[in-house]
Amino acid sequence: MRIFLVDDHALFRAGVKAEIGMALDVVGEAGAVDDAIAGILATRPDVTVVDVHLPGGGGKTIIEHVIAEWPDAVFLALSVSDSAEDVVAVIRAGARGYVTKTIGAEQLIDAISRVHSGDAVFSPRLAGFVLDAFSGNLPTASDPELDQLTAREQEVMRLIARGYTYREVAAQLHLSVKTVETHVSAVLRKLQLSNRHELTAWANERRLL
Amino acid sequence: MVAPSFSFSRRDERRVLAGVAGGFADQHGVDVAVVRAALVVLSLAGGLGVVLYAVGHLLSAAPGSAVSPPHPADQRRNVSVAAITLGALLIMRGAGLWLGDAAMAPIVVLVAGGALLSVLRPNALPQAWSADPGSPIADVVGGRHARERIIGGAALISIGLVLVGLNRGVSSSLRFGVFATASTIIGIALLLGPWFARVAQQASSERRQRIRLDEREAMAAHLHDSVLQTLALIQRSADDPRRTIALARRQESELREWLYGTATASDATVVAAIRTMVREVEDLYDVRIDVVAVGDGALTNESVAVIAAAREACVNAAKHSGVDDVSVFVETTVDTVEVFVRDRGCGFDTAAPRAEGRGITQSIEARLERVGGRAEVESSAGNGTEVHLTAPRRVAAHQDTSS
Repeated sequence: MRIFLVDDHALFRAGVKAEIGMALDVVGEAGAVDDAIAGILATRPDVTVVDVHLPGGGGKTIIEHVIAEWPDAVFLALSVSDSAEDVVAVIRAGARGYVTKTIGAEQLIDAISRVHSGDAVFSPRLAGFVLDAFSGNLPTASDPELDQLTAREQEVMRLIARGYTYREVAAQLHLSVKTVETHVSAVLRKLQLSNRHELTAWANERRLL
Repeated sequence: MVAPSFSFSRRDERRVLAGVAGGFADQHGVDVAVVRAALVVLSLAGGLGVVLYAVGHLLSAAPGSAVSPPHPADQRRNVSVAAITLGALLIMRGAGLWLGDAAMAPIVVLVAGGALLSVLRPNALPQAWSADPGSPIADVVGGRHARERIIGGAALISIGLVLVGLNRGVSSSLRFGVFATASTIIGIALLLGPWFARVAQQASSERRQRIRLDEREAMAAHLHDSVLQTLALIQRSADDPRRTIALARRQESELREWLYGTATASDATVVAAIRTMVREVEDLYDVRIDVVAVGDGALTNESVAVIAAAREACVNAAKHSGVDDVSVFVETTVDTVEVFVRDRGCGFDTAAPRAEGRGITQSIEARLERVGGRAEVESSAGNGTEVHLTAPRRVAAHQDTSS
């Protein structure tokens, strides 16, 4: 699998490369927004691992620009920050997953393969955020555009927020791993499509922005 | 020179009285300062200016109903309006509606000087006014033609003062006293204006700089107390990986809280209390505890009990599970608090009697039962442990009414 790395810290890129280099082929890396867009479009990697905070626009800008030219690009966001604003911004821009930088090498490789095969990668934190956003903790919950989660999707999110892996979720709910993945992808879609202002207002209200 | 149409609409913005002068000026491409100056001097000449203003008001339309878009001021038109005004003045003088040369000459010169200064004002265009409404001083003294304006203004004021001086003794000294004072004030204002403006500007830029400096100092102080201290400690304990990791972990969560404000204003909410508890356990036992929180609410007796029980569960996981990663999930709704503490460690057989017999599970369970909650422990050897704690969350008002 061909990977492109975007992070403004060369040291961090080197670390990730050393960690995942055994299993994956790192075909390019960049430390700034413009270089990243040009590099990704030139190398066409299978998955781009992108940092959320970058000088000159951030991961969101990269994802938006690349997807505009190459809609099949796959992104996994990796960040040290876990503020809700960042989560919302990259997921809405089109990232298929969000993991924090404290993730272990094996888990990172697993997450990369997962987004590559078309699944969504939800860290517990992201699942918690999703639950908060969809479960009536919104100040104005009655927005028709904000799709509600089904009971099953809510159960799945809750287990992921509790630290369960997809496999463990499947075992707990007596489902197949594939079904769990389908639920997670559905949640990701709802998150990407639901009313932008509503979520921003929610994040504002809680002073997360 | 015939104006396109005599009718005009009064001006609503930047007007002094009813906006007649401004409306006229906009419609006929004359600088409003010239129109105002003409009206002032003509008012002193037998009240003609007042009459003209009243007539203009009757003939003009209400503000907003624009007859045609405003014309930019044109120097030729300014001059012609000035000439017409001068002619009208001479006619009034001939007609005897006149205060006397001694009084009128300095007034006419001073008003003309003032009008000249305004016409040459650097930002004479309306949009420039609205662009920088905050600094009228800079508007008058800065920019284009600044030196010419100051010299011209000073010259006109000097002439006015000389005229006043020459005529002293000929006419009533009281009147000239007033003129002399007014002229002097205007002259001083024009001469010292730029200096005042500079001082004011310096003061405000100094204030901005001071605020910036204060902010930088506050940030430097914070970084010194936290990040730099930690980095120094890490360097010293480089050969003790556990301690290094613990230091880095603690600093990371502190800095994160400072940057993103995950710390709430008070510790009086469930999530804030959980985070405080987790940090303590992390420090004591060198484990990493990830907290995911959904919802939040004020602390009640019941939630305090749940958090105390969750602390026990975290400590157990840290001490007995054999791994150093623990997940805590807390969900607060209007009527319940729920906490899950999970590790992927060795686990234990919940059915088997506990060897140590310290009754930790017992103490967790008992604690929750007292507040009407319950605890469940799910574990099996090799599969980690999950402790599930729930308790109702009663708000104070309910407790009062239930008794």
